[in-house]
Amino acid sequence: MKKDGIEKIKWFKVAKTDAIPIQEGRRVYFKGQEFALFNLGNCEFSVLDGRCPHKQGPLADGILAGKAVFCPLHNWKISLKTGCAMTYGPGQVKVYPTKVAGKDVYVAFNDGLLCEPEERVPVIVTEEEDDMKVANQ
Amino acid sequence: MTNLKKEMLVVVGNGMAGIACVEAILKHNPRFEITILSEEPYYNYNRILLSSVLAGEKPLEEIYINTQEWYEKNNINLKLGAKAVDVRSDEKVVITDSEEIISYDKLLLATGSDPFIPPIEGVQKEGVYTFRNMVDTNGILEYCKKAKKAVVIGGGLLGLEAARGIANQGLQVTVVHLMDRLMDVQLDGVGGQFLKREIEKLGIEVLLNKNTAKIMGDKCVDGVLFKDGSIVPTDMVVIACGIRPNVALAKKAGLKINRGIVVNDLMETSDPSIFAVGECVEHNGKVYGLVAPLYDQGKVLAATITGNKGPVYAGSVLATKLKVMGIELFSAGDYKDEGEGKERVSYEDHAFGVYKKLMIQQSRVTGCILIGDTRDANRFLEMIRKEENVSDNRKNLLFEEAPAVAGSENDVMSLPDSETICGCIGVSKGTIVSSIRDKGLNTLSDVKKCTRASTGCGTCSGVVERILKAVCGAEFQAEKKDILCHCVPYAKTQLRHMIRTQELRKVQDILDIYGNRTGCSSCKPALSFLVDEVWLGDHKEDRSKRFINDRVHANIQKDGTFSVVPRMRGGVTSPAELRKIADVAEKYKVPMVKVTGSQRLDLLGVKKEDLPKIWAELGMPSGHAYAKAVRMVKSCVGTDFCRFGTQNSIETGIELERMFENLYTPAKVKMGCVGCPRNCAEATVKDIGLVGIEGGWQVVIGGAAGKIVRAADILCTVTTTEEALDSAALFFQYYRENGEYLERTYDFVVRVGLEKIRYETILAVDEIKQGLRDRLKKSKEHAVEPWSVESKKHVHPMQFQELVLPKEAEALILD
Repeated sequence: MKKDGIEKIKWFKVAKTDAIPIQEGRRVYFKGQEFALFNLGNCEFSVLDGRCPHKQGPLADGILAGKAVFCPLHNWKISLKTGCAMTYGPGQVKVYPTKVAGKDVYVAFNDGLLCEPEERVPVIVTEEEDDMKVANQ
Repeated sequence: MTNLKKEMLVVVGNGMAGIACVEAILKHNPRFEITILSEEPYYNYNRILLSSVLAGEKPLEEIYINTQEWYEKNNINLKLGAKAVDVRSDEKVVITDSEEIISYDKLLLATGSDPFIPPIEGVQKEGVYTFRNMVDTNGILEYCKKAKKAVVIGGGLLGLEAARGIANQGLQVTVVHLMDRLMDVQLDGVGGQFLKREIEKLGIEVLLNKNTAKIMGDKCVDGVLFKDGSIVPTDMVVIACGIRPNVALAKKAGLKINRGIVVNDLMETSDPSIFAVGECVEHNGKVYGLVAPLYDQGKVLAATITGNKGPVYAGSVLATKLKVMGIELFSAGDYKDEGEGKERVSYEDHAFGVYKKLMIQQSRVTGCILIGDTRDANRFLEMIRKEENVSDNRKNLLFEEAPAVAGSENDVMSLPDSETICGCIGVSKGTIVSSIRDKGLNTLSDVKKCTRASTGCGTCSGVVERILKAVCGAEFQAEKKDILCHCVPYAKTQLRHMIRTQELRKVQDILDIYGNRTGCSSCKPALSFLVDEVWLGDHKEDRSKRFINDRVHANIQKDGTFSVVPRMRGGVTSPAELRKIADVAEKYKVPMVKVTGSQRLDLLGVKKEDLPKIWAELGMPSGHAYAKAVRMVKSCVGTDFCRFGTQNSIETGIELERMFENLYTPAKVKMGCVGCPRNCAEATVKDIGLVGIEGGWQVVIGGAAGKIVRAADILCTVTTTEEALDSAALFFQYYRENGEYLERTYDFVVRVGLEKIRYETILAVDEIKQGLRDRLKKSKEHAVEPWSVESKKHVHPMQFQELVLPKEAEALILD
């Protein structure tokens, strides 16, 4: 949709701001595709492709840690800012712009971004986290 | 130079102070030929730990500090069992009880102290002990075997440790104390009340204001008579009324003596060839009975005696820690309320048994008492020692502001090198730092091995670790099991304590105050477990901190669907149940129905939104096959049908499952119950197993047949089913309270040790056992079967819902 020659972003209304418990995520299905929507609290939301780049775990069911989510299947840590795998890896999913207007959350499903990875902070995966991975299986 | 005759140093006393001093002397030039006279026929041992031996927490052989090799390696002539009976200082000789005459150039008296025995009639009767040395300890342990009741005379530090030890041996113990409060030397009235309650919780009776008149009985003790006319019947008596410096030999040597052997700041006595160290010494009017000051004295004396005069002993702040398992108590300095210009800062929580008090004079902390929470003991002790002005910090005196996670190591580095970090072994900060640097250590266990710091009572391990962190920087490696997670860098046990004493009921609060705020997938579920376990439902659960399985009470599968495993107690089902399962499986098009290894049926491939509907239609309880919780009891058919069965394993297995179901545990708990040792339901490779035998049951724990295969250990063998279930319950609750998150019983049993587990569960005193049972009961009362509740009322309207947008959803163009 063009207006004054500039492509305008299409925002899709996805949910009410109070639909998802704070610090949890839900799967979003739209046009045959699955996304993961997270409520970070303070009216901040985040959307990624729904499945982990590792073995397609449902990211929406993961545990949040700041601006990252841990996949429930094998504990990969995916950045909510860039969609990049922060541990194990490599791997990446798309990140979708979100915005809140009034009491509604909007997502620009057509404008998914494959971001430049942040500077990869070497994350030491302790043996314990590995144990955790096994324990959660 | 080899012809130069070495000076003869004779040491009287082979105790902690004497040997620590000899060790310090050896660090200077080896200019002495050393002879040690040891009245006790043992190598040097850690006297402080005798109470742990009595309590069954440590075997005797573990408390030796130095072995034969040490004496040999340092060319020390050790005379075991040789009592020095006379000193002729004019001839410079010591005479032993076997009339051996030993000459000295320098004589070191480390004669320690003797137990004070008040003038009571009957103290020579059989069954009356003092509690001072290895012989006493062995004697008490031996006598405990035939006694049922014990009276400990004296409610001081030693008396209470003795009482707890004897109670652990299964005796009914009464502590009688002359004064109006326990540990009256170290505690004020309020502290005394707190301590009394804590001691009584251990099942030990406390009688105050009791003046003992007579120990009664013919040959053996049968009671204690008090001056108020009352009598307490008993089979044994332990006298712990304090100690007196042993100055008998010093008197013969003609030294100056008040209460103890008088020494100056260089640790010299009135005779230039004779020195003294330890409990027998009086410095500046004070006699010390605790180990840390004695080590300080030893270091000064070592410098003086080797001709390196310089360091002076300036006296020590008196500080005491009570080593009774389950009670934390610390007292230091001048804690008394009375006195001009004194201010009192205190905190009392009677329900939790926490009492903290600081005494302040002219903006300086002069004394403190901590009960129930002693984590700040070292911080306060430093304030007292340094006479720091605390006026800027008055707001946060009792409760320190949460330390900046990165900066907290630096405070330990500002301690002087001479600071004793480990009071039991006497290791200074300087020693720890130089070992870390010289030997390239980077884990706490390496530091423990090399310096022996923190191998005594272990309370200093936090400080040792902070020093290690500060010295190592990035090289530091956390002990794998020691801290919960990098997000909340505290030991798990410490976190449990923080949650309790600071009433933290929300995981996010713990992360905000003590962690990095964000947490991660490791620590959030672990903290959720800890909060839940401490508050037993007296808090609001935050589902977002839980793993998805615990948010929706089902096990997530590789494709994002879930599995549903209903509970079938003991693995027993019925045609009606099977019919319901079949109906549900068809109605919801469940892709697979499978019999599990745990004698259950598993419906695999269920969509999240179908979960609550399926639970409602099944009408069966959750099998918890997704959680760190009680999973199941497998059983064999037992006496009901089996021709070999010796016990009713089905009925017992179902009862066992009912007792524990719906309870959360540090890691999953799988159980088995078999009717005979043929072990058809594999009880001996389960976390808890009951194995029927002719005329009774074996209760086994810590078995596994997963990633690790381990045969379970036998906790006990009992004759009745009630006893078997009770023993299993005691262990189960003990594991819940002491297991670390994700630690399976097979690791737990190895880490804690089977003996210790026995002593603290099935062999514990009745009150301890009842405590475990009561807390299990309380948990059980709060526990809910999640499926029946949450199929009707979701914790959030969207608990099981995903968001599905219609295909034709309209896009909006916003500015």
